[in-house]
Amino acid sequence: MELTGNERKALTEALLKTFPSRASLAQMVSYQLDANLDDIAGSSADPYSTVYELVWWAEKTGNTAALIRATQQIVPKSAAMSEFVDSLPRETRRDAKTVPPSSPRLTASLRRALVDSLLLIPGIERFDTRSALLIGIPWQASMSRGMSDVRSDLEMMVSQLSDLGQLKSGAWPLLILADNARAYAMDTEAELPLERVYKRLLNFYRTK
Amino acid sequence: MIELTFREGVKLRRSLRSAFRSRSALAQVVFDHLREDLGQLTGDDDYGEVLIRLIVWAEANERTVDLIRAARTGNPADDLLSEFEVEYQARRHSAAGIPGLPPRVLTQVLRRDLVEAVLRIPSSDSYDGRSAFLLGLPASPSRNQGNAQADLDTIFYQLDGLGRLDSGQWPLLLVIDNILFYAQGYAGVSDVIHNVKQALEQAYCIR
Repeated sequence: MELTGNERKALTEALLKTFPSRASLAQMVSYQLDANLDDIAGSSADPYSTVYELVWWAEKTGNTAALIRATQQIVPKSAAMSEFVDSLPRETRRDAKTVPPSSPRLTASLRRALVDSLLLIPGIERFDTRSALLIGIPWQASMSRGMSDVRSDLEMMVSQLSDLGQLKSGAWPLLILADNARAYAMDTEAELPLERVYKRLLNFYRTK
Repeated sequence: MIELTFREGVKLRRSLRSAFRSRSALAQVVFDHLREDLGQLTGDDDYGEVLIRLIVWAEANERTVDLIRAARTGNPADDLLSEFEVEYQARRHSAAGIPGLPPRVLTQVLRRDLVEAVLRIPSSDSYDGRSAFLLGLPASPSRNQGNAQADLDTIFYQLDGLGRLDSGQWPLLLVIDNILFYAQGYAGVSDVIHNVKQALEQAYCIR
């Protein structure tokens, strides 16, 4: 994926707006791209030149789409990155959004069945119970959460985890969530519905 | 080398089970922080057996400290695991040749100063605003959605004592760097946070 000069500048600015610190950017580069930001950009204290070097490195190594996609996965609510992607020509945009690993969309009925069965877990009305379902999933700390009610929080969790796509370990975030949920549902009315949804999820991701 | 006592082994197994209710969650943490495949290490037995085999593997490969560190990073909020870490650390404090767990460096005074300064940044009022401070952390500390002061206090307390991330960052410093971005333009706030950061860097021997 090749960028024009203006696109390169726009991507640099979008990354600067998305990552508040060099440390958070370095963590993304390390985890998602298996690279070291210091090796790529030196130890410059200037944020602009650090990010500019990163963008150059991504282009040289064929990692531009991966960089954009990783950023969108980790910070899905980044308006700056969404605007940047939307500003790209259609062909380039498709490249940035769909280079594998893709994030298969859950069917509406599977999503609804998952949320409905999660709602049966004892204590699910408590925020910390819902948070416990996310344990083990990378980047959960910066996820957006729905504060207005339990269902909207679960809907947001499911939606964001679905968009994360397959993890480097080969695991799917929603399967981790569902497996955690099964542990909390044991010996309750939620056990059977969750077991059924878990199997449906396994089948869904097995075919992807 | 078997280094854990029998009692510690049992307690570590209970702590891991408390911190990671499912095998999937544990497998992800083992992959992310130990770079190992849990299935290959332990086979596909029931979860209780998997935990025993994981601990035996860690002991045999002198990676018990790594396992504890990985588990703490994967779930900084679990009380049982945190308690186990403190006891483990205390018993080995004076033992020579055993690599230690990361130090706790955030004193009560520093934590109070940090919380008070961060509360003066408007974005700390909302849960999402505070979540933005955590960007880059692999796992979430336990949170208090309705009380900003308690939320920040808990976050800082739990991040203290976590080991360095793959990128080389200390979790507490990573969050402070994020916060400094949002503190720009608020007179006095940045200075306090910078002072706390410097104290922590000294404690971590970065400076």
